[in-house]
Amino acid sequence: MELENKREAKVISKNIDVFYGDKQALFGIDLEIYKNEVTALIGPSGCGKSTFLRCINRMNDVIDICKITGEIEIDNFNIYKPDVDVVRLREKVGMVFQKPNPFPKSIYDNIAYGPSIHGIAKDKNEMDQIVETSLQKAALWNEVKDRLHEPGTGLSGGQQQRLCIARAISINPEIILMDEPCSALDPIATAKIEELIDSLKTSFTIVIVTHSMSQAARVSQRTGFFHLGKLIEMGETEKIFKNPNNTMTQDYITGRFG
Amino acid sequence: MNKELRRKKRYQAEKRFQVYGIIAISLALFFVGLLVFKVFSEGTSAFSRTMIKVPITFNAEKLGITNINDNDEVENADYYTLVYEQFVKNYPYSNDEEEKQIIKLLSPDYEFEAKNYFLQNRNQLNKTVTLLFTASDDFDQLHKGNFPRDIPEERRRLSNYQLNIYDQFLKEGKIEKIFNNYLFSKGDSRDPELAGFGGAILGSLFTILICLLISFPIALSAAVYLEEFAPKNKLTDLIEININNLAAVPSIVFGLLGLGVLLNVFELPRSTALVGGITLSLMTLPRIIIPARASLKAVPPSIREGALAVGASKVQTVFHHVVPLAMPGTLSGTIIGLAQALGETAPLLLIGMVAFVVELPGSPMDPSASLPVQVYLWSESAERGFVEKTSATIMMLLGFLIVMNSLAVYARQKFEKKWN
Amino acid sequence: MNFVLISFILLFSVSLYFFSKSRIGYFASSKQFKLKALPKYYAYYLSLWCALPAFIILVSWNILEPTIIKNLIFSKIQSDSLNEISKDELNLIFQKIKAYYSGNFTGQLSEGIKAGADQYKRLLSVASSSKVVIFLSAIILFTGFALKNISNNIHAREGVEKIIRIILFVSSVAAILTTVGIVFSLLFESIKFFTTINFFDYIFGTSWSPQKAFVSDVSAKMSPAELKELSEAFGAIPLFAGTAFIALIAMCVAVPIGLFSGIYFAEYASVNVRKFGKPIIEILAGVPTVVYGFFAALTVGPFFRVLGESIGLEVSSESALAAGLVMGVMIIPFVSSLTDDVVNAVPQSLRDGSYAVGATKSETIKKVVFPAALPGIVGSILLAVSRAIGETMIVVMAAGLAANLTINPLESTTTVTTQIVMILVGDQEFTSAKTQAAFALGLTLFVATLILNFIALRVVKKYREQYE
Repeated sequence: MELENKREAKVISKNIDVFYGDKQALFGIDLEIYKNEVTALIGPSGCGKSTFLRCINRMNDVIDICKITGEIEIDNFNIYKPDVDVVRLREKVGMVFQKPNPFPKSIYDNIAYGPSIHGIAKDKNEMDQIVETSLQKAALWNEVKDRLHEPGTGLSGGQQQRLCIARAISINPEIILMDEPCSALDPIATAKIEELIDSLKTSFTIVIVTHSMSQAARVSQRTGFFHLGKLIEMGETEKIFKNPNNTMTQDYITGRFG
Repeated sequence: MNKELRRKKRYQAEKRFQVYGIIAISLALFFVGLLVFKVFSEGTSAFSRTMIKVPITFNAEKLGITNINDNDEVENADYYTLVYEQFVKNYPYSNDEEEKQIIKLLSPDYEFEAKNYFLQNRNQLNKTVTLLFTASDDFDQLHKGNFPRDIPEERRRLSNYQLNIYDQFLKEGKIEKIFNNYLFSKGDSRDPELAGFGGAILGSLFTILICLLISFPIALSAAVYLEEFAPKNKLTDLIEININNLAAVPSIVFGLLGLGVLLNVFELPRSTALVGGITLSLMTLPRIIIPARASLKAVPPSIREGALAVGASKVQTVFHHVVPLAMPGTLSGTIIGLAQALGETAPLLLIGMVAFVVELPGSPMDPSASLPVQVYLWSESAERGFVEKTSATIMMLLGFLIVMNSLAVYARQKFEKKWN
Repeated sequence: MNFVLISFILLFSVSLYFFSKSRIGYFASSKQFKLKALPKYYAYYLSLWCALPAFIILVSWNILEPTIIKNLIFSKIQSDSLNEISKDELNLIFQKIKAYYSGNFTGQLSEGIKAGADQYKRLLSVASSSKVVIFLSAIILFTGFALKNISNNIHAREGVEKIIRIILFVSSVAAILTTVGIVFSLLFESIKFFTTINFFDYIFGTSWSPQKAFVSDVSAKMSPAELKELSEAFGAIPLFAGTAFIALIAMCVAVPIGLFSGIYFAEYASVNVRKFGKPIIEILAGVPTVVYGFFAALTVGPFFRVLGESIGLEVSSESALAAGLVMGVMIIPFVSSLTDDVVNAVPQSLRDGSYAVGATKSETIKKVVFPAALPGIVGSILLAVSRAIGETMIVVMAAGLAANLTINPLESTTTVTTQIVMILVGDQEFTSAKTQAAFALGLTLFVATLILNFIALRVVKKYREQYE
């Protein structure tokens, strides 16, 4: 109970509706995401969990036909206000995608890209430092430190995904969104990423979308269950998996549908 | 703050980049507009012809006709002197030079225009009728407002004296503009007012027809073979690379091929639509094969499997099912290929389709020009009248191309099946 | 004559088709065998065998006949004459004979030519009657052959399909034959050219004045000094330089405009701008080059001259700038639509990755999309360059004729294609080194564009595979 008091809401979603053309994808999502915790979003495919994730850093803006209503507050600031600068928002909210998507550049340039466009590093030394710490935080430094100038696309799938995580943390965001980061990886690489997520939560607030319930159980403190564009239930991971309030959640957890 | 400033700059860069894109597109659109505007503003006047009204008395004595029913006599009568004498009467002149200047206001064809009229209206013998005669090019251009009048006389094509005649005629209502049917019905001529692109249209038509007859069947068969029957081996690889490269060979090289092989080895007749059509068909071949193969490839294998499963042979499957389904795409590719061939000039120059041809070609074996070649020929001429005729020819050519390309788009959209 | 024969085969084979289709059932029962395929396949089989061989014979006869007659006449002239007659003179005499035969001969008439014309006429009539005989017997022979096969109870559909496959294969070989024809016709004349003119004088020479070749023509009779002088008249460097220069100006116009508009269409343009803007720009690709030439020669060239005069510059009315600029306009749509395609092929995930670290759209394009698309863009620019150097009409009409070695865009320069046209338009003599030079230029152009295309297609293909 002591823990509960220390918790601080980082992201608050208020009545978010999302439409693709005339098809509604999300219905009135209300939820809170706490600081320095891992929050998992689960649900069957097509339930809207990824769509919601992309609302948090406004990646849905890229899609022309996508319309969003409602509010998302980060640190009590509504990011859907008309004059919000998405570039600034995304500097604060990083993202890792389902399929590793390193740029067709060297490992070094992949990491340096974010800091260089935001002008974070003053000189080459500082940039080297940022690249090194980012790769270290992503637990990739030891594997790639001798070949920083080789193309990032030459790495294995798991390494590529850690490279993408390193790229996301290179600009020191406050929140990292992960969209099924392990779905394209083998079990060993998955284990490494999960370990990494656990260590990252001390510095970042992490939201992870996953289709694997065991993964959600392993890495997250809180879990939200989405179904057909609605948030069915949200709570402590332990509670959701052991004793959910909603029967639908119960059915999904026990594998009766999904 | 530093960061704030930086972000501002980044947004400015973003704006700038978009503006570059918009400028680039606007420039490209501007060029399209300029081209179309230039051609239309210069070409439209070619579709009208300036005529001068002249009362002519078909005086039997002057013509030397004694018996109106004697065809020979009527044919060979002296219309030249008849019109000449009656025309120069229209304005006072004091010397030979001025007399010459008056008659120069008429196109040199006036005797034939009078004769043609008289041959159909023999009962007008010894009567006076008002005939319309084609004005000379200079007069025509003056009337259309293409010649400035306020420059010194020595830099003008028409003298002060001739300008006075023009003004006088204008006042008397002797000048009339009619639709220029010569433009469509006549072949080339040294006199702009008598020149037309009728011969060039026929030449283009024959050329494209021959091109179609040769390239379409061969290209379709080649595409079907390569896509449906060809085994994967060195030879088919070679054919494939060959076709792709052939599609990008400069057109003038095909002209050299036509000259070196068709004219010099096979000794086909020079300057004819036959040779032009064969040359262009070789050029068009790969340009049809490529889209035809693409549309064959787009037919899903399930169609083939379905036909084979009911016991059709490979050939039957292909010709009963696959080829008909690939037809819209193939046809649209063919039309586009032919449109390119229609606009092609360089190869035709080399096989001699640049001859000065007055008569309309009656068959592909006759010497002829084609529309783009006519553009080239006329653009080399200095007379102002040819400039407007060149633009008019371009309008005609562009008209054909627009029709063909719209047909291609139509064929594709109307008949093509979308496979999911 | 040919027309009559072709109509005859068409008519005959079509009626044979319908006749046999209706009769084949009786035929089979009278010969007491069971049909293995539908009657129509027997009908196809018959009419194909009837028409195809006869048609092939007709075509090859027409191709061979003039050469054979020519050689027969040549050998007659040769045997009538006491001394050796050179090939060129033989050709000349033959031309005279032909002109006399067709009734438009003007000039001195010799007995020899009259006799030659008689022989020519005789040969023509023999040829045309034997053509008809062979043609008709081919029809009878091959139709008979097909009938015999049918009565031996052949599988008609397989027979037909075999023929169809052969026709299809032969058609696809036509593309190779075209290339062979190009190479053959270019090489044949070029080799003759290079036996007179030193290859290195051609490739590295800096003075191009082919009119000199008219002065003294037959290389065999030339002194070494004359030969050297002639050789030095065919230095193609000014042409290569002019071609490259004009192409460079064109690319300076087309690459930025094409690239930016392609990127704008792919990344920024709204659906409507794309829908209307793209086709309008693509009109530029459909406009015949002769129209651009007209535009360059009558609008852009004089415009630059007047503009130059007004600021005190001397601009040639056939400046390289005018030709290059207009050529650039022509190439814009190639660069823009290829760029559009290539940029669209860059996967969205790369863009998402860039946006996710807070990059703006233009930063994403400049630093992620463009580098990723670069190979494809380079390939498309190479294709555009190959078009620019092969382009003929614009430079023929708007660029100069004199071979100046210059890098001043306001002066006139000439190009490889312009010279080919200038040399070959009008009457030519095929023995002149000047005429052969045009083919050597054509060969150079062919090889250059071939190499460019080959590289470009490879690069583009590699690029495509990367994202598939």
